[in-house]
Amino acid sequence: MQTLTATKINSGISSAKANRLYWLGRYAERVYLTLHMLRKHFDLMIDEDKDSYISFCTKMGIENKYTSADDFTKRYLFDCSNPESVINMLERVKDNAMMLREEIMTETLCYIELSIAHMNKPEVQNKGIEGLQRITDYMLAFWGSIDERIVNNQIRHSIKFGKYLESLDLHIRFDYQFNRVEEIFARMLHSVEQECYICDELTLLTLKQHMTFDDYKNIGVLQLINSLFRS
Amino acid sequence: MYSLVKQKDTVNKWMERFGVRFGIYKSGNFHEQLFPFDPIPRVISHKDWVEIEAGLIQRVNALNMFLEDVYNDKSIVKAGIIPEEFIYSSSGYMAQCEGITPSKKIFSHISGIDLVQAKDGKWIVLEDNLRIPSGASYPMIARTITRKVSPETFKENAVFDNRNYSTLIRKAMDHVNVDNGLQVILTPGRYNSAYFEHSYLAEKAGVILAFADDLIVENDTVYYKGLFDKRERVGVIYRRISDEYLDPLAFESTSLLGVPNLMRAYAKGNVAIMNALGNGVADDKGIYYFVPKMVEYYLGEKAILQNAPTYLPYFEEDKKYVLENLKTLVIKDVAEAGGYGVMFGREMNDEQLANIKHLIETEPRRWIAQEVIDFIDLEIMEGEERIYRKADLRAFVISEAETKVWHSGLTRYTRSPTSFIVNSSQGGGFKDTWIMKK
Repeated sequence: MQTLTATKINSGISSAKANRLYWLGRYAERVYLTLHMLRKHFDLMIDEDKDSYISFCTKMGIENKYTSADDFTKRYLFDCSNPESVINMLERVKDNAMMLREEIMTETLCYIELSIAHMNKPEVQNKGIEGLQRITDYMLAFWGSIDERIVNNQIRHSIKFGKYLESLDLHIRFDYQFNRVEEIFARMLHSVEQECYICDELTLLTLKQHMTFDDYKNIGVLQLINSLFRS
Repeated sequence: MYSLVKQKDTVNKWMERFGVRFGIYKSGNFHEQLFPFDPIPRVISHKDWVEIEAGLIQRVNALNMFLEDVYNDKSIVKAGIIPEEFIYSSSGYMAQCEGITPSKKIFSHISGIDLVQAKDGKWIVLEDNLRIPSGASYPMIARTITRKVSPETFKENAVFDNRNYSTLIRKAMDHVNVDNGLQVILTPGRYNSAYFEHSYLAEKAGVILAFADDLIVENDTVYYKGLFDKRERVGVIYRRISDEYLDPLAFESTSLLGVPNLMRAYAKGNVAIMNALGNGVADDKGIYYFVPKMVEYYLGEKAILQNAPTYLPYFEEDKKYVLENLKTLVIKDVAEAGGYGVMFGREMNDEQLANIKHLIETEPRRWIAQEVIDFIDLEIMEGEERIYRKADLRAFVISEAETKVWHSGLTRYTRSPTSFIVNSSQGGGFKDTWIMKK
């Protein structure tokens, strides 16, 4: 049988491509973790705290422009005109992924296509967060595909650097325990050590000093995390 | 084939999954839409294909020889085969390309030749596309999908595999690559109508998809700008940007899509550009008239594939005929493309006919007129019903060490029962094209 996809001999990474790889990782992880965090808050809204979405907005660092839990559900999840919405996060993933098709491959990109198509179905929008389990499944498949299909370490770890950086940011914002944050930080360090050249080494050194049980929730740590990318 | 036809919706779902779309601008806004796919393939018998293939190779070889000639010796003009005016007044002629011979003397590496099949079975060339012909990725990915959803169809029918198009492209790139540099596909970006194709071909050919900002010219050499100012030499660029936007310092100065000084690097032979700059002079609708004469002049052979009967109002005799028979002819503006600027005399009212007569008399070089070819209708599925629509075929010819024809093509059909215009930008759909092995 003939080979239908040619082997890529050279895989140049320009500054613009590095930027796209990084943001692909960040936005994809943001979609996945946002849904994860939202499920906890939606559970609280059932009977314990009907205004739990307000504390969600505070932790995410976004303005609470929503009038009720229902309004939040509709507009934060599905409103394309709301720049913070989950559907818009997915569109940002797609923007970057489409520009990287030749690196991540069509079979990986398709999980983003499927996610957007799923979110745009009226019957899914009527179900609210419950209808979005499939998005979580697709995002897990997306990450699996990234791991399985991308053979170029530099490309794969640049995306995963963005992923872990976003994960660190959100876990700290949502008050996760230090051992969980430390574990994610270790994964990020692993990516940085594996041919990922887009992490600013000096900032990383400083961050390492502050990534301690006593310090990790300080606002300065979040600022350092968000200054780690360089291209 | 019946099982494939039944699977139309499944195929279209796979198309959606793979993001198979094309972009279109409506009222200044960009929209992406699925390219409607019809599951009934166009089937070309082996016997027909043998003749088409030979005709296409002959035609593209002659066109490549013409391009080399027209930017160098101009022997075809000196021999009086083509009037000088047709060369220099062509919007595709680029004076900046005079004296430049590209790597391996190939000008048109990827040629898209548009054909129709007349009702008597004869294949006729309607148009040559030698700049950036697009569309091959659609039948390529459609075949990937149809083989998945209906494997029995391909067990029962001996059809040439068409998924090797990217391999052909890659070989063409390797053949002209200068100093074994990087191979890149240069795209104008995400909001180009054919962006899906650019990114899909880069993936399948295993080359870099580059945007204008990724490339830089230094010392007349093209480099890919890596991280932290690292430079990697580029040896071949399969550009998907029109000539005039490729280099803002040489052509359109407001272009943000191009690479400054690219023309200098190209002129010095430091990079290969696929297709070469200036090819527009050979796929000009006016020059089309002369292609069978080119075949005779350069190859000493009769053209295997014929043009549609064409008249050039530039010649007095033809002008007289065109003006007297406007109502039965199709009139084409040589400066337009994509199905635009095509007018059927039978559909024009008296005022429109008077206007076009005036334009033909005052600007004869701008127009060609052709007899309307009553080309065959192909079956398509509309819901559960089989209906007939006009369809053309874009065949893709790849020129490297040898000239080869891709064993497939883009069959586009019109969705309107009264239209002859098949372009996707005007609402047309597409079919797979099967070339039978026996």
